[in-house]
Amino acid sequence: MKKRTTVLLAAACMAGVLAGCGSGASGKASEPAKQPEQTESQAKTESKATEAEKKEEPVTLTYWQHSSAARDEMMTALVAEFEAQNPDIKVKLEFIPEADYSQKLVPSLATDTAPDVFQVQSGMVAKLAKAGSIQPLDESVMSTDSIQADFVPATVDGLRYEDKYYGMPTDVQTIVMFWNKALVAEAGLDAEKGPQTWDEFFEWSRKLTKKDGDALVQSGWGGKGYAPEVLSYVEQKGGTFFDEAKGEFVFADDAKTIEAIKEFSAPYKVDKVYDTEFVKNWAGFRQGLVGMMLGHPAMIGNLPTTAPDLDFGVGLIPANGDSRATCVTSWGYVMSAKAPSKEATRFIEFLSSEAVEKQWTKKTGELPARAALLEDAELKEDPKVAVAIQSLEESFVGVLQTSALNTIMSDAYSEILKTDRPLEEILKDAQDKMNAEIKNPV
Amino acid sequence: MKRKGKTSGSRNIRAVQVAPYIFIAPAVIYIFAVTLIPVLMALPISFTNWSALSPNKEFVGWANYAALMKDKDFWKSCFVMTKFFVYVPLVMMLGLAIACLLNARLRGLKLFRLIFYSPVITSTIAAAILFEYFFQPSFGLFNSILKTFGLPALGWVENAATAVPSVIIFKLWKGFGAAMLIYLAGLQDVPQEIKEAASIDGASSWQNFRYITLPLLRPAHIYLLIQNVIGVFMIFQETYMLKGPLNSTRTVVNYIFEKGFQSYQMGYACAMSFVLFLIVLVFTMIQYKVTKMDVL
Repeated sequence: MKKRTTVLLAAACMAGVLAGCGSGASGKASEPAKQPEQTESQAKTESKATEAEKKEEPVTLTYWQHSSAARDEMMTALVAEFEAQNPDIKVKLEFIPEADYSQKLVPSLATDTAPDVFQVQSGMVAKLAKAGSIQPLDESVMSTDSIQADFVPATVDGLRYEDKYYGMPTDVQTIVMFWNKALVAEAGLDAEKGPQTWDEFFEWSRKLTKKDGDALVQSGWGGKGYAPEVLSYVEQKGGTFFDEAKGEFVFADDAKTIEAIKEFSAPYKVDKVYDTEFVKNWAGFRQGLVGMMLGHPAMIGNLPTTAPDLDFGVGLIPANGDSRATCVTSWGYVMSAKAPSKEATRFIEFLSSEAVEKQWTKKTGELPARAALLEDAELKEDPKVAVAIQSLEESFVGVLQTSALNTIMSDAYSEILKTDRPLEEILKDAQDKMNAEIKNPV
Repeated sequence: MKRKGKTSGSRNIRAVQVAPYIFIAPAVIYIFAVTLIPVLMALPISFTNWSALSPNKEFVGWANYAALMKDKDFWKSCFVMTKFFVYVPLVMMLGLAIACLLNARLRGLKLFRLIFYSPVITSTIAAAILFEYFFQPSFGLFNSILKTFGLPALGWVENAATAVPSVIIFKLWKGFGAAMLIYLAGLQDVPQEIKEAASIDGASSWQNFRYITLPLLRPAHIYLLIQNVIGVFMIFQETYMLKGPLNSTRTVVNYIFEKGFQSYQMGYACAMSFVLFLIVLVFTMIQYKVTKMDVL
């Protein structure tokens, strides 16, 4: 009896761990996922059959937005605007805290109860499309040709699977450079212009570093290998990180990439311009303990709020010769396999329209994806935002846009910085893990 | 009349027999609905390649379990988890020490109890964010204290060598109040007359504590030991928030979460969960044998 009680106690205590796995099992586990094509044709048939009804009763779309105060307010206003323009469609808007978003979305996909329209990291698009959980955009609303003509390629390339676009970009980010004007001026450097080339950038990072004995008191550059920064440097140096033809990661077998990563990690490892045990990099930048940072343009909007006294400059990513290539990361608005295709695409089209993207950029600092907005005089009035928009001109899509791939890269880079293990070995392990990750059958 | 009395008596007996089940029913239904049934449903999933990105899944037999045996990261995360067992005696000793202090007749006793217990009911996520600031190497509270005493600053969570002890410090702060409460209840049950008799016989305060109080707290020791050992197996939130470099704080549950919610290998994650379940079961059985427990 006591034994049984013990077993039950242990079972109850462990159940929390296991329940996470089982949570998705309560749905229609045996029911196959609807294929995108089936859903599309079904939607078309239904749309004819119920046309008369539709005139009276609008289609309701559910939409999940990962929440933040600025986004929630703006999205609520946009939905109202969309509904006014499209009386035949209603949007049921749900805000999910960012920390819970993935844990709420995954069970909904698992049980075929996902919202009609939702946001995912663009690296997830291919996985979801392959699993049949999302459907391509409706060609009659947004054609492939129009998408290719109207959008910056790097912002939509990651949303394509088997020649069809499955979503439209949001939260578009590149990599730009930030510097603390006071610290730069104090070091006798040009605080208005910023470093232009990588050689200059690394030189500045050394000049801006101050030590008391061996201990850092000021870091020149708080770089610790954020994946889009590393990818940008590798791209500029002509390295190959991912082989499109083979569909696999090849960075550990590419001499140029290995050399580029060695160079990029040298300021931390050799010159000791930063140490993660000194201060967290962005916190240090806000407090005037870090001289320069590479990062997303979203920080242009964030820094004045979180560090109101900080006087900072913004510039394009440093150049290698003529190349200022920068890696684009984004999320995508996508629609579930069971969503009404036309209506959901119309809503996504609205969210990625020129007018909405312009509003979005002005209020949140996120970059536009529509090519026409790269030349918009009003958006470029603020010189910092103008730099961010300009960075899109020479951009490429990032290949590490899922949490799992990012984690592998971040762990590997951390090992490069903090251990003496040969860099080639670390990269080889990371490459094997990444290839296993992308080949993992869905 | 007799018959009536008999019927009423048997009704009472039946009511007495049934009542406990009614009282425990809500908890039992809750545990079955949100934990045990999902656990049972997770078992078949561990034999599939389910991604959780769609309802589709294929039976893969023992493949997930076979892969798990060769997965170095899984075994490394098991090793990391074992480092956290240091927490168990520490939290019990700290809980007991504070309980002994609070068991004395002090002014403002209730206030102290409230203060010491409040971390237990504070959200782990919110508290971890606060501790992240305390652990900040350059301007954090802990390094400021060390500097005040002329001691060298530490990297805390940012250093692979000190990351686990840092998380343990956080977990101790968060958990000692619960241990304190259990011990306090135990201390209040220790009969005063035994201690008084021992004192009359010449026992010192330490001997009183060592040979009377401590043995009489045995049920509390056993309960806390089992509860905290299982708690260590399930460490997740603390190490999710206070993440050390080089996977120095990645425990088994963190790894299960990564595989399930980042790599979308839910079948594999379920297989890992069951292996962890078996490990916990074995540990609990061993504890049961060793302590020959009589508290359950």
